[in-house]
Amino acid sequence: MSLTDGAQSQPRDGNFETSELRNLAPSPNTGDSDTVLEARNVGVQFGGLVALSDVSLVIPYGKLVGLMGPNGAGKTTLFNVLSGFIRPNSGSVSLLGRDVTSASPQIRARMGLTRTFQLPDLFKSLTVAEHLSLGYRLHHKPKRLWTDLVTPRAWGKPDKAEVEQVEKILSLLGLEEMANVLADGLPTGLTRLVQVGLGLAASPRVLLLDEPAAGLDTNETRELSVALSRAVEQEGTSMLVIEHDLDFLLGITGFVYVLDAGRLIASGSPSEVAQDRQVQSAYFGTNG
Amino acid sequence: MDHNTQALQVSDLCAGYGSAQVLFRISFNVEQGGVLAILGPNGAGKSTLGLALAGLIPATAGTIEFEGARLSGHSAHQVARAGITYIPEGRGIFPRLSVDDNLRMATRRLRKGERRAALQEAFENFPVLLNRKDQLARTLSGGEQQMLALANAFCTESKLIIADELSLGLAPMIVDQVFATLERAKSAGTTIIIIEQFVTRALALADNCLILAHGSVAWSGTASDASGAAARQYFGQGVEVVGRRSNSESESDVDENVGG
Amino acid sequence: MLQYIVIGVVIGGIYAIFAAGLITTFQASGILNFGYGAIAFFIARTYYFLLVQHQWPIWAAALISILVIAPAMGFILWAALFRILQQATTLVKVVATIGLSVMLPALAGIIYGNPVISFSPGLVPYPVPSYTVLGVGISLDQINVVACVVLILVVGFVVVNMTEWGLVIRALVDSPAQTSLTGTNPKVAAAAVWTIATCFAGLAGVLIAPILGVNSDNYEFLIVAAFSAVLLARFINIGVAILASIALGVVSSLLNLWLPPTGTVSTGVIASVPFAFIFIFVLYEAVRRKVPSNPGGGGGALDRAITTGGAVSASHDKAQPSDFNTRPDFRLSGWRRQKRLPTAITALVILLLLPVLLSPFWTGRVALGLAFGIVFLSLRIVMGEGGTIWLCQASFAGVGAMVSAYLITDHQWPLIPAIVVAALLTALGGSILAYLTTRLGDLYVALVTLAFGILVDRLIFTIPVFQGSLNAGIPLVESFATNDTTFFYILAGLTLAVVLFVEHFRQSTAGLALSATRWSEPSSRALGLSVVQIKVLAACLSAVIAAVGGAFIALSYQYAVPATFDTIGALVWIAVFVTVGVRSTLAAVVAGILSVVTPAIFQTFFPTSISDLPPVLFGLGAVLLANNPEGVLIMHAEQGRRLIAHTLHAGRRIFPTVEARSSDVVD
Repeated sequence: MSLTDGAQSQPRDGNFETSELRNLAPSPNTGDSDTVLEARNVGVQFGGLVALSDVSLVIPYGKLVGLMGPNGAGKTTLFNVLSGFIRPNSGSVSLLGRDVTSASPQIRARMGLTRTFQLPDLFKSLTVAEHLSLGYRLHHKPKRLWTDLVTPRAWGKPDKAEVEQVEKILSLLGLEEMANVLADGLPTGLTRLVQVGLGLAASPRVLLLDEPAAGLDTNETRELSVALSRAVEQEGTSMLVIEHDLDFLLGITGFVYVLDAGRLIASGSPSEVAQDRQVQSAYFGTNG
Repeated sequence: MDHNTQALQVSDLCAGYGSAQVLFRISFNVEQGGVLAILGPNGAGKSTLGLALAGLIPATAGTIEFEGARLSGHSAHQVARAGITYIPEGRGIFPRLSVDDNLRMATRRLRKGERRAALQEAFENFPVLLNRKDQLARTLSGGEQQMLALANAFCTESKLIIADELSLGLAPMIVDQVFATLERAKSAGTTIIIIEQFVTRALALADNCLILAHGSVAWSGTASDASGAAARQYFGQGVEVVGRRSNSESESDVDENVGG
Repeated sequence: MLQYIVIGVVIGGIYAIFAAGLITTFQASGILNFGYGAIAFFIARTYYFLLVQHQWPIWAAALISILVIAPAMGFILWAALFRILQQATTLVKVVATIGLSVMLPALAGIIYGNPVISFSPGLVPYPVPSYTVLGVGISLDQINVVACVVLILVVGFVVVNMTEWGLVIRALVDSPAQTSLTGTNPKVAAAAVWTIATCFAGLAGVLIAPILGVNSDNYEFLIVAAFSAVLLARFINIGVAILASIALGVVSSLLNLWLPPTGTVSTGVIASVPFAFIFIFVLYEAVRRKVPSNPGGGGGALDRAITTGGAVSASHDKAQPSDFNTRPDFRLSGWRRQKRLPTAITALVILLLLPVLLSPFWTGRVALGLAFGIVFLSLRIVMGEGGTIWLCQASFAGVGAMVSAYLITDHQWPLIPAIVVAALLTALGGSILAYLTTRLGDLYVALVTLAFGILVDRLIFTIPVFQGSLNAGIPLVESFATNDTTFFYILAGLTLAVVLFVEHFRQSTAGLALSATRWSEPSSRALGLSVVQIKVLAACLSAVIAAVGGAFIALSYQYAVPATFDTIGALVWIAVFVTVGVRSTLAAVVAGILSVVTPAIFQTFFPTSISDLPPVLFGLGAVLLANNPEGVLIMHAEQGRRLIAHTLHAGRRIFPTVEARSSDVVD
């Protein structure tokens, strides 16, 4: 239940207690309450190389937005900027109406932003369910990280709410049977699903997924898109999804951004951007 | 098809990393002197196929035959000795060796006289490298590094060049030069496999095309028929085919079509 | 002064040969060989064996040891170990080569015997002639070292830079995979590199013998000191490493001149120069955030792509839970998720019966083993769960022992407050060390913690306070436990408490979080975890447990001397822990007992000629980890255990629980 509860837009006050969070300045245009995450004119340079230039995008509340682009377009760099792993050289990022441009990934995570990574790296010595439990506790019971050390809680049964949340995500992703399996050695398809689950376990406001369908076969891809759509509908989670396969995006979103060489070159519905001349040249090669 | 004209024959090739299988029963042939483009979205297994052909990762099942001799089961240096130059993604060079040493490594198996001639020829064919002869390869620009990788293939008179993402991260002008060099190799009769993201460029050079998806062959056919299939693979089945063209000779064809 | 510079250059030259060998082999295969010093020792010991014990002529002994046995050993080690190790994780690489450093000296003892070596000749017949050059006395041994260093460096430079062979070696060092793509077999080249590097190690070992004495610990120190030059060269630049080596040698030597000649502090300071250097250098780099990850040995992106499988894989079969390792259901309580509860209870019952079954001597050994087990339990947290290569645990145990002993004997404190204070000190030390090393790659952590441990040995444990009556050490209160049996039960109770705490930690949210930070830092941070906090917590808890263990080791011995906790000597602890104890919390206790009981069994029941066998077995166990390229320690710990269990028939008879407990299901 907690997953649904958490997703209703009531603020989870527990997450805002930390002083670091209170210090974050309100974003200039807080007026747009429909926006969960926004990047404005973001630019990133690595040495002389321009990785991102003047990129702006908006992720509305309860919507899934796609992000496309050929290899090296800057998609993962943009994810790193949005999640706090890279500080942009210019521009700003706001999360839930607060300017988080220079906030660390941990702070953003506590505010409700989680992400996955392109490399399928899980916590190999934990089971699938333990991943989800950890994700749940870090967001809903952050104090347990320390209190568990001095209370006998770890020896007892897990909390009811935690079990419910874990079971819910397991069933959402079709992972019920794999709950007690160690993550080490899981095939890529399942790894991707567990990564998504780990993100969802935190009941995030916004979830950034980096190529969640890479390495999945056709069936798994279909199952994943169903799971993502359900998470968006039922929990109201906003998502930004990097994906190459327009078919996959078509099934789950009405809106995609296209990056090429660090710039946004198109945005719109998946079928619109597929017809876009710049998009095609980005994917199929320049003619000069 | 005449058996003798096939340079490379791959049948039911399976490969992967450790316990994770990536390639599933890949089969294709490349004719002597032909150019095959291998296309496909990210994660489709293109680079893995390149590594498996080069012998850097073992084939777990299936066979690779080159000029009638079985290659699968041999390690990379044996594959190289058979006359195959594989240029891996991200520059097939020794970054911390000088340009000269790179070429000397490539020509190590030639006899002394031949080697000197080959080195000289390499610098004639790639004059840009001559000025940089004593520089460390990693100090070269991206384009120059790819030129060096190609020069390695040229000066050993490779029979087959397998080039993975040669154009990745290069400026358009440099991409032109790289493809011009490949064109030269093609006209010299070298068999070529190019693994590419830039569909148009690759298909302009290629005779045949193989499209991978999820580690299997999703489509194969002539290069001229490939662009529609490639679009479907890249953008999904639900998307209207773009870049229809019956004639792949000129790239301006695509320009006209993609607009609509 | 010139005299000191000459000595410095000689020592520095030896560092230089080792550093050059370490860098070349590291670059060719990605393995930093912690066993390089042991290899040098082994060859030097072989030379001594032939020359002194068998009175061979110098030329024959040198020829056989340096030019026949050394290359053969290099080739065999490459084929049997380094070749396989290339694919392994840093943890396995470090531990396996540490295994080598534990195994080879002990093996030398078995093969060549253990005579008292008071004088170690070099390549010059005795008496060693001395010459006076520019008013400086210099022995032919020293001239030899300088000449050989110069010769090796000049010949090495010419070969590497001007010959075809050198071209191949440089290519191999740059990228083994790319080397194979040019039609050169990289394995042949790698075998050659390891063979030649072993020859150099052998030569350097023989040359340095007159200065160091044929003592394996000294050789290991020398290698760790050479690590500092390797670091300064950033694992790549041999030229820089050579200059740094000579500079280090000269600086250490000049300190000898400048510091007051008497006093243990001076000796400690001088001997610590290279280790202090490692410590400061890495931390400086860490502060500058220059070394976020491991140095890139063993090739470039292509080499990594084919070993780790950079690409994503597709799965066409539906996976079943039965295909994988599973744990008890997550809905169960923490108690019920403990798979091995029945085994643990059985083991506990047997343990409690031991004083009845065994003689007081063996009860005492097992009690000491339990104290070691507590130290190994501390490794279970920081290495087993945290995956950090933490090589200074012996120092924390040592601080626990020395400080509590000092407070008890010199200040008449009661036992428990003394241990608490000692534990708080180590908690502070562990936390600071963890805080400083959090951002470093595995290999750097290994080097820094090793250097830290040696610094503690040389700077802190040499303080007069801890020297006590020097040899006898500081006796602990004997009234604490009235007899061996009481002491045994107290230790058993304490061990049980620590076992329960370690399991408690593992099951707690912090324990889950530690696993998370171990496997993926980015994912942990994305979840909102602070990696620093978790790692500091783990190191802090681990240091406290180690301190308690150390205090009880001292209590068992009835005295506390620094030698027990010598960092280099304690590398064998790491080997035993990883071989036997990393698998589960119970196994850590078993590892502790084995590490004490096995040598005792050998001493009691076997001829002295093979009393060195246990370290060989422990080292071999660690070396065997290499066989698993994935670095899943568990499986190979199992192998090592089986090997040990096979060898120790007597162990089973006398101490039945060893087998019963170590055959537990792997967790």
